[in-house]
Amino acid sequence: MIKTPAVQKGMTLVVAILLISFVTIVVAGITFFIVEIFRRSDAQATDLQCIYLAQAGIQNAIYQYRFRDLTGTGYFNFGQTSVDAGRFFVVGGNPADMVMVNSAGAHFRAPDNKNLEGITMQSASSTPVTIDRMIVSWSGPSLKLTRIRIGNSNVWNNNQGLSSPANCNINPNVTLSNAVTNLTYLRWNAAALGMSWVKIEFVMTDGSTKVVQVYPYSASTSSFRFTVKATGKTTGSPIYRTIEADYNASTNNISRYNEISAQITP
Amino acid sequence: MKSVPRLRLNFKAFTLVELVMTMIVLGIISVPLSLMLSQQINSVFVSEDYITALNLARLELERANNANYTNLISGSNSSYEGYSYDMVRNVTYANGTVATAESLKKISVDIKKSGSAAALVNLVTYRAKNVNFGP
Repeated sequence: MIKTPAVQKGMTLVVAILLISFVTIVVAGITFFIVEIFRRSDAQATDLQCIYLAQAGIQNAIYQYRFRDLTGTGYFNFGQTSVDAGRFFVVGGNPADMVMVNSAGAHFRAPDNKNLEGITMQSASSTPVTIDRMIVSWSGPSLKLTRIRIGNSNVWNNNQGLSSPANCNINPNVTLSNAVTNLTYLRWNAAALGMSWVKIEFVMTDGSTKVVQVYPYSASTSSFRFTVKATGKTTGSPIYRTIEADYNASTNNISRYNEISAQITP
Repeated sequence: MKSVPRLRLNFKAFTLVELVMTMIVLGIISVPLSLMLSQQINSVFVSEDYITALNLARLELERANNANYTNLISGSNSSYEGYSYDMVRNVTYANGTVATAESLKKISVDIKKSGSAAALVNLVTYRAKNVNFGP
């Protein structure tokens, strides 16, 4: 009876301080979670905006290509473009992505039918791209490839010829600009009339590759296409999203449209 | 017998001082705490509005992506999709004009809380003429 009140001295203050501490911890905890919710909402908005900015980049590149194609050969520019204050996209692609091959007029030249000709090439961007090697394979007769001529220069010769697949280290390397370059001909050691397809793998100086299949007996232009990549970003945020699209210049269609994880930088 | 009333007296006196001190401390701390709490409660509603606005903006941009290019023009819609949000779609030519063979449209979508002038969300993208998806 005597000790109890003495022990309770200061208890109200202690309890009050404990209560305040508890309430402070609870409020701080709630604050943390609400700030997190806001951060996530904000990141979600930025993330969504970035994908639409990447789409803007793809559409802008295709527009540029088509607009220039009205009066000459089409091409687009790499680099960063602002959509408005704080929002931009960056367009790019590796060299092989830019190689466009038009094989609509591919045919074997009479009368000996040894030369496959009527193929043209160009870069889809204003940035030139350089071909280092060509790996040529073909169907049908067991012929040997003896020569590759591009833009009226023999860039590869082999008198004995190589069987399919022929790995041809072309010399000098061929640089493609956005102007049309003739793949003047591929020559075999005998008539190649039974050949239904020819596959050409272009290996660029950076190691990127593009495979083109040519059908000498049909006007297929399936390789007259380019691949463009665009990253959408907002200023001050590390968030980005990138879209990769294949544009078929023969059909005016986007034939492939994927999101990729890489970031395209200016 | 003498010590009991003295202890009681001390106890009573301390309790009064403690109560006053506690009230002062509570008063000082409860003001910012209550402000913070009310802001947090408000933030939950704002966050909900924000997410809804974001989803409505996405819906509108997807509609714009699938719309016929020629028919893609500026417009607005109050109580968009039955929600208490207003949608404003602003379409301008980033390149070219209505008369050119090729053009590029800039599509900007604002979502606002009904009756509010400030946009909660704004999304923007481009669409090129004569470009479709296919083989």
